[in-house]
Order: sequence, then structure tokens, then C-alpha cells
Amino acid sequence: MRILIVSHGHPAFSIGGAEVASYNLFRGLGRLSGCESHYLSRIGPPFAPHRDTPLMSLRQNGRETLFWANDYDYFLLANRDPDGLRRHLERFLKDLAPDIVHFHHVLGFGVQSLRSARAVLPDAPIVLTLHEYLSICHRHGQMVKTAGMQLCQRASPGECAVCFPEIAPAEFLRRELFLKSFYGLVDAFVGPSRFLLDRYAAWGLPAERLVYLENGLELGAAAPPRPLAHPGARRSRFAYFGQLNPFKGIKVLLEAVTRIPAEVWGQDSILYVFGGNLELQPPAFREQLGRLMRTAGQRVRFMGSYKGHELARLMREADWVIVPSTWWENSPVVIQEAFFHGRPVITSDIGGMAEKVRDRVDGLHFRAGSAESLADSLISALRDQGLWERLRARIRRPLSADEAAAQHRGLYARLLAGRRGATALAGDPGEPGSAKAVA
Amino acid sequence: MARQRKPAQAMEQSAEGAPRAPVTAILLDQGCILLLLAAGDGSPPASGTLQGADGSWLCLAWEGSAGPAALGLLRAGGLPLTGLQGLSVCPPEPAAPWRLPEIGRVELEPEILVEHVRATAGQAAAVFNFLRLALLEGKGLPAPARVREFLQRFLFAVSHQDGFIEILGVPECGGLFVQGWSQRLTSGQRELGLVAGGFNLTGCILAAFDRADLLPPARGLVGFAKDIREIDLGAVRALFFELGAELLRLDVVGRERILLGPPEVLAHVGAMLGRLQAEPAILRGFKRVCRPRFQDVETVSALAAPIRLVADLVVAAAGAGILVLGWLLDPERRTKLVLLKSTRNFYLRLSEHWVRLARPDVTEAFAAEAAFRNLLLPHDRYHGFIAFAPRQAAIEPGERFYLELVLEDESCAFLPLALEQGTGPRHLPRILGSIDAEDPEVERVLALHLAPFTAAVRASRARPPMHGAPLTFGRPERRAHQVSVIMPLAGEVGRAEVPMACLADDPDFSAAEFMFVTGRGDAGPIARRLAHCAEFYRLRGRLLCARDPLDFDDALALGAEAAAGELLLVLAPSVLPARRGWLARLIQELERAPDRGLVCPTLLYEDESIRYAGNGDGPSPSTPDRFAGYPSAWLRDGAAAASVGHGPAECFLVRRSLFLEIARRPGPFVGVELYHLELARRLRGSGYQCVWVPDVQLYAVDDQPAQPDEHWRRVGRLVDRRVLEQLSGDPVNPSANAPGDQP
Repeated sequence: MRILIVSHGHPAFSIGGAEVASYNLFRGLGRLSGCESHYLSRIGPPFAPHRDTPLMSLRQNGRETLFWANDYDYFLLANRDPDGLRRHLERFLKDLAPDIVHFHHVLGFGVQSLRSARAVLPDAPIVLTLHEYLSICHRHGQMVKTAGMQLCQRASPGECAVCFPEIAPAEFLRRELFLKSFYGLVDAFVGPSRFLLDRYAAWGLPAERLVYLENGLELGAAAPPRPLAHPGARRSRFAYFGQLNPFKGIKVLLEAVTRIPAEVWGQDSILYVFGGNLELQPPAFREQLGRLMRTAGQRVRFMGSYKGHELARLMREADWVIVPSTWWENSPVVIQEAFFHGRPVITSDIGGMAEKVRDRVDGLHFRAGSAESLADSLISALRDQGLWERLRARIRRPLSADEAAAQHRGLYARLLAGRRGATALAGDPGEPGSAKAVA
Repeated sequence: MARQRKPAQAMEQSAEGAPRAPVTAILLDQGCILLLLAAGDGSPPASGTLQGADGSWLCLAWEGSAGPAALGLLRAGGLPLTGLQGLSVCPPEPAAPWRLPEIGRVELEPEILVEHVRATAGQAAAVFNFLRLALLEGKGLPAPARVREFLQRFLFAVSHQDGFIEILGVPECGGLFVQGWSQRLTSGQRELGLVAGGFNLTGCILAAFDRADLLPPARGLVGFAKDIREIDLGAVRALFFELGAELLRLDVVGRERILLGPPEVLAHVGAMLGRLQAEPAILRGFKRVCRPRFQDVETVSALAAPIRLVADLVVAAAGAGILVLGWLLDPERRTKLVLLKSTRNFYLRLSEHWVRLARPDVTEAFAAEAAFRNLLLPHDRYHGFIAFAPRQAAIEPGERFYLELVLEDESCAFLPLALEQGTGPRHLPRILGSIDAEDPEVERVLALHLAPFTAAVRASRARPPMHGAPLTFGRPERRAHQVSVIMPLAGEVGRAEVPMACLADDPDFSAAEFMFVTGRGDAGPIARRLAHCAEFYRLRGRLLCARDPLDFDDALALGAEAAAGELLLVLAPSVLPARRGWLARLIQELERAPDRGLVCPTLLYEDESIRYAGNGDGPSPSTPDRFAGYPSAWLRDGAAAASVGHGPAECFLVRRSLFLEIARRPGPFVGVELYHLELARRLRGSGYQCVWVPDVQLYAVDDQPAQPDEHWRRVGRLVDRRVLEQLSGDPVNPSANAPGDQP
């Protein structure tokens, strides 16, 4: 079975959860017998394209190809150069002739790439993994309202236009219909969280094509528990891993830390913040964060950004991982990573986070966006001496990349069998009662 | 009224074999006889040949008041009249031969024929047309004077005098203008027979007008025959018109006739226009008569209507045509036609051929001008035009070109054009730079106008000549060079040094001759350094400088011309060899078969993705090269050399003699991107194939241009694609609205 994984970025050049998940799947599939996996990812500036073709290799593995694209409509999620798709993406798909084309995003390539795949490979099942709510929500796919960061429960042209007064409701309807015209070509939509799949079902994707499959992790050895200074010492080291942007709840976390009474926080507690891209955030956000960091003082240590291979070492210093996002999230990789290393997770009680972390089983929930509620959870973590061990003991090991690949292979096989059946039916001269006879 | 019949049926009541009376013959010319036939002469065929002798037969038959009648025309040049006795005519269809009647009397004058026609109630017009077609137009040679005179006399004799011609003139536009009166002729379009020394037949428009000095039904009449050329007005005796079965004649009044020169005709017809009564189309024809002629003076700006016409650029492509680029501002849409004309009768309905282009600058410039105020809408931008007028004939000395603007009211104005030759380097940037590549009509502009123009201009250009003697470096090689490496350079020597260093230690190149080719402007800064590099790397060769800047095509041609090697290796400085020993492999494949015209290696980008790995199709600008951009792992190890549609331009090996032959003519392209496709097309046309050698792999990188591409070069690439499609015979159908009239 030849599988092509298509991603909006290659993790060698662009780190992100979806990039990592797609690449892990590509590698996991490549290790399965009977599978030949290929990886096609979008690349853009600052890399320069070749003169005559957007396809390139950048000296990656022979089964990894890059497609340079930089003319992208962020509203319609569309490629403004469909001729490039026709001349080069379709040529590549035709030459590779995969049995399965699995998109992990359409960002950069444009949603029209689904039609390219269908045009060139009419019999190959197309799979699309949904990593966030981008198709539903123009606000970075986060389903958080622009006014007051309120969580959005449902998208509609009228409500979306309230978030974006400069865009007419009609444009949102156009967007929705445009996207759905391509999603009709997809055989299966994979989501790593049931919450996300429910949102897409409510948006109108056919429920029978929504498939829950978790992403797999490519990790080495798990980090051992942090050695305690002495018997009875507290599990009092908290860690935040992730981007520093307004949706990730870092402000809520810093506020919560400052609210914990000194006698509870003590001298041994520390919050490590491992995160980057602060320089890319709006000035007002950076200013607020700076003020909160100064207020938190010695309680918080800002450690800067980190690379994936450093995670196990960094995790050694932490007892708890905090995921305080104020948007729904999907299936945050950081939760999987925390569980892989045996760290209970304190997280917001919404969306994919609430689904992945079981309250008081393998982690703690707090009310999303509430510094007081998070502070309460942190106080519980610091005061309840046996809590950390109890939660850690019930953590379920997340899927490895190989296990996730095997699950995906099962999906592919079912889709191929279904396609063959459909093809056989289409080739049937028309037995009574068959679809063709009815038509 | 006589009724015309088919000759074979005309006299069927006459019993074949019954005694036949001798007939009258009129001897027109040597061996050319008219036979006047009547009832009892059997069934003469409409056409045929003489049985047993060399001769032909034509016949017109009619049903007369006293029975069937006919007129036969016999051509039997080699026979005396007496020799016709007993001969028969064989019709073309299977039918019995018809025996010629006995000739009882031989006449010479047309009056005998007139009498025969009248006696048998024949139609004068039909008989005249039969004789005219048979005698004047049928043989392809001028009729003898005797025959022409006979016809004229017959015409005068059978026609009815219906009026007179009192005024004759030749307008500025040529043709013949007449004025007089007629009893029965009315307005309309008719065939005109003109006796003026000889006899002419031509189309003519007629219009009537009221005259107080005539009694009804007589009316004044004017006529214009536009196709009459170089007529002696004084020799015109009469005009003839066919009206039903009759021929009407308007005699030119004797010495009282008035002969008008061109200016007088213009004024006279102009004065008459208001009185003429005819269909609008006929009246328009008379308006044309009084249009002014081109006097080498611009008259558009003198129009009262808000109209401006400007030709920004008029360029001739030798042997191909003329490109006109300009704009017409006519917000009230009063223009009916814009013609491209020359003083040597070149003519094209430009406005039916051109493509309109957006010219917002024209809208903007005239928006505030009084004549155009409130007439121009901001979105009305399509005032520009581009048109390529095909014309293979060379431009004659003294031939001048102009635009003729014809308005709806048939008035006109002129714009003299300054024609430039299209081989200058400044023209293409200006022309191509004026095209908006996003315009919806751009495909038509490319296919119909720019592609034929640029292809002709580029293909007819002269190769830039050498500037001075080549700069030679390295010790002369005692052995004959087998291979000359041609490396076109554009400025930076650093890009040439890397391949020089890579090839320096390759034994395959130890006896090679290196030919660096550049334009003089680029050569100055690099010549000395290049010589030092070549000496350092122990390479032999020459630096060739052209007088003008060189493109890739010219550089290769110049290098090939000067090269000494039997084989040419074209090697762009962007090609970087990573291994040795590959040239011998290419030579081995080239020499494997005599029909191998070009061999080429695999080329990889700097990221080791595939740049060129063969192409199974023929030259096509629309198909990316096979596997272009894919990881090199896609290439199969051990693949054999294969015939391909084309090789890359950056690196190929070719026999010098073949290259000189196929690259003799400059390429038709503006840019260099499609050079390799045209090369492959020419090779194929000469019976040679391109062969790709997969196991020879070289890097070929995209050198960053010093500056981003100018707009005209980007348009040039679009044009080049069209040119190649047209050369390759690919279907090009930019629009169903193709030009109509051609000059």
C-alpha cells in the first residue's frame, strides 16, 4: 500500500503540532510492512523556489518532497495559483500514484489540492486530518470570539460577521460553501479528539465519514520522576510548554500563580515557562505578560523556547504540566508528551483538553479562563501529598507513532475495500436493486 | 417573348437524317465561326468537341416565335470552312454526335446576327452575354481586335438607346463617375458595360435624382464604378446596362460632355449627395466617392467630433507584416472603421482585426479636456489597440503608410504613420511592456498579433558581429580538438571559475577547447580575470566578444562558428559537474548511432531534486519536464540512455556541423527559456533525435538574476510560448473572433 502524507509544513523547517503529527505518521507507516509511505509538505519563504517548478527536495529523504507555495488566500483557505497545482501537484500525484492520499492540512497548498488529488487519482481514497477548527472559524480556527475572548459555540455567517464586522455575512456563506465543495471529495475525516469531530459534525460534515484516530508520538525513553531533595519533599514544580500567545492561557496561569498564598507556595515551588514566539505577539499582550511576570517574581522562571529533542530533559525538572488554554484545543501534543513522561496534567475544563485529561484520574481540571479556579487546582496539587502519585499511577500511555500508523493502516484498508466495492458496483451492468439499476 | 432552351432539346422536332437546309455562318476570326441555326438543324449540344478534327463547340439555343433557334460558336483553327463538311460535334455526356449542317453562306458583319436574333425573337442580352463569355472571357487570352469590334457593333445594334451621359469624371479614390439621364434605369447595383476604346464589364452603383428639364419617366442618373482603372474619359462612347432581357444604352453626348478631374468630382458629388434618391447602402457608396484622399497630412485633429487617434508605434517586421500600437478615443462611438493603408495600395480593415487594450492614462488625460468633458467614464479604459497586419511583400521605396478613420457619416480623416523597422533592440521592450498580462484578451493579443510579429522580428535579426579578435589563453593544443566547450557568460567571471575548476582535472577535458562567449559590454570587467583563471587551471581556449549584448541563442551560434572542435559541448556556467569522466560517456552515446543529434545528462538542482531527467513528449512549453522537482531518489539506477523529446539548454553535446546547420537561423523567441525546445524541434525536423543519458548527473542551479525580471520580459515569455505552439502546430484558439479581412 503506497500512502502519501501531505502536510502544510515539514517539521525540519516549521515546528508545529500538526507538522509533527503528520511526520510521525509518515515515519510510522514507513516502518510497517506492506506500507510505502511518502511525505509531501508545503514550503515557502524564506526558502527560494526553483525557477521552473515549485517541487523541491531540500536534500531530505528520497521519499520526502516539498512544494513551494506562497500565494494563499487565508480567508478561503485557497491557493491563488491553481495552475501551479494543476501543472505540478497533479503531475507529482500522477507519477507517484499513491493508493491513499492523506492530507494533514490544506494550509498553504490550498483546499483545491483535494480536487487535484481526486482529478488525478479517481480511485484513491482521500483522507483529511482535522487539526483545529479552521474550516469553521476564520479566527485562526480557534472558535473564540474576537470581543472579550469568549468561547464560540457555533459558527454561522451572521455570527461570524459579528466577530469580523468588516466582512459581510454573505462572504462567510461563500467561504463555507466553497470549503464544503471540496470536502465532498474526502472519503474520511480523521480527528484526534471526539470533541473536534462533534464540532465538525455540527458544522455539517457527514458523521459517517468522521473517524476518531489519535496522533502517535515519536519519543525516546520516558523521563524519570524528578528526584526529590528529601523524603516528604513536595511535588511542587510546574511546567508550561508551548507558544506564548493569547489563546494559550499563559496570562491566566501567571495570575493564578501570583494568587497562591506564600505559605502554600513556599520556597520550593517553581513554575517553569518553556515557550517562544512572544516577539510575534501584539505589543499589548507582551506588555501584560511582562507585568505579570514581574509580579510573579521568583515564583516563575521564563526558560525560553525549546526544541522537540530537548523535551525529555526539560521534563525531568517538572512534576506537573499545565495546559491552561482559553480556546478549545483539539488534541494537544503537550498532553500526550506529559503523559508519556508520566506527568499529571492540570488543564482547562473545555474541548479537547477536558477529553484527554480525566479530572482527578490522571490530572486536574479547572474552569477555563479562571485564574481563581486554576489557583485552587495548584493549591490542591501542592497541599495533597499523595495526589501526584495517585494521578500518575492512572496515566495511560499515549499511542506511539507505530501504533497510530497501524490504526491508520486499518482505516486505509477499510477505505480501499469500500472504494473497490464502489468501483465494482459502478462496473455492474445493473442487477435489479443495484444503485446503477435504480439510477 | 422568346424562351431560352437547352440546346440539345431545342430542335428535337427536327427528324435526324432528314435533309437539312444550308445555314449562314459568320466568320469572326481565323477558325472562329458563328453558325446561325434554326428549326430543322437538329439538336445541337450545348458544348462539345469536333469528331475527327481539332475543334470545340458552344451553343446557345432559344425558343423563338417561329420555332426553335440557336447560335453556335465553332472554333476549329486548323480547318478551312470547306473542311467542316460532314464533321460532327461530340457532346461531353454520352449522347449521339450531332452533325454540323452544311454552310450555305458566309458573312462578316454583325448585322446578320442582329437580324437572326430579331427574326427568331432571341433575347439580345442573353446572346450578348453568350458571346461575351465565350469570346472575351473564355479563352484566357485577349480577344482579337476584329472580335472586339464585332461585339461592340453587335452591342450597339441590339441595345435600346435609353438616355445620355453628360458628365464623366475620375474621383480621387479611383473608378469612374458618370452623370446623365435615363428613361428606365433606376437606383441600385448593376453590371455596367462600358465602351471606351475596348469593352469593359464591371459593377456599378446607380442613383436617380429629379431634373426639371426631363419629362417622366426620364430621370437624372448618377453612377459610380469603383473598379475601373486608368480610363481615358474622352474615349468613353456609351454605357450599357442589362434590364430584363434587354440591353439599354446610354450614349455619351458628343462634344457637350463634361469631363471632371478628381477635385471637381469631389465637389460635384458632394453637392449632389442631397439630391440623390437610392437605398442607404447605395448612398453610402456615393459618399465614399467624395471622401478626401490621403495627402500626407494629419486631419484627425481637425474633426469636429470628439475623436482622437494616435499611433504610438508602427513597426515593420520584414517579410511578415506591420504592428500598429496606438489608441483611439471616441466616446460617442462615431467611428465606423479604421483602415491601415499605404500609398501602394496596401489595405487592412484594422478595426476589424485589432484587439483593444486598456489605456486608463488616455481616459485620465482627456477627462478634463473640454471636448471630452462628461463623455468619459472612469471605467471606460479600452481606448488602446494593437494589431499586426500580415504583409509578406517588401515595403517599396517611397511607400507611405497611414490610418484612415471612417466615421458613421462616411466622412473620414487621416493619420500619417511613421514606420520603423522592427529589428531595433528598443522596440520589443516598448511593445511588450505595454501589454497587461492579466487582460482578458491577452491570449488573442499573444496569438494573433504579438507571436507572429516577434517571431518574425527575432528570426530575421542579424547575429551580433564579433568585436575585434578573440582573446586566446593557454598553450595551443597540438592535437586537434575533438570537443569545444561553449560557455556563454553574462558578466560575472566567478560563475565561470567554478566549472573551470571542476573540469580542470578531468582527463576528458584535457584536450578540449573552451570558448567563453559574451557581449563586449560584459567582457571588459572579466576578460583579464578569465584569462588568469584559464591559465591557472591549465585550460586552453578563447574569449569571444560580440559587439552587442548577447542572448543565449546568439552566444551559442557565435561560439559554434568560431569553435575548432568536431563536437560542441554547450555548458552554461550554472552547470556544476561533481564528478569526472562524464564527457566520454556523452560522446559514447552520441556516436552510438548517426541519427543521434544531441545527447544530454541528468541535471539536478542544488537541493538534489531533479531539474532535467528526460522528457518523453515532443517540444511543448506547457508540459513541465519529467520528474522536475522530485527527489533524485526517483531516478532508477542503471537506466539506459533513451530517446527524449528535448534536452536541456544548459548542457548538451552536439556535432558542430549539425549545430551550425540547424542553428544557422536565429531563434524566434524573445527570451531564452524555450531555446532548447526550438532546438529539439529543428533537430527533429532534420531527422535527428535527442538522447538523454541518465547515469551522467550534473548539478544545474538557478542563478539569481541581478534584478527582478522586467515586465516586458515576462510578457515576452508568454509570447514565446505562443510562438512555439504555432511553430509546433499545436492548436491555438484564443478566440473564435479571429480577424476577417486580410490585405
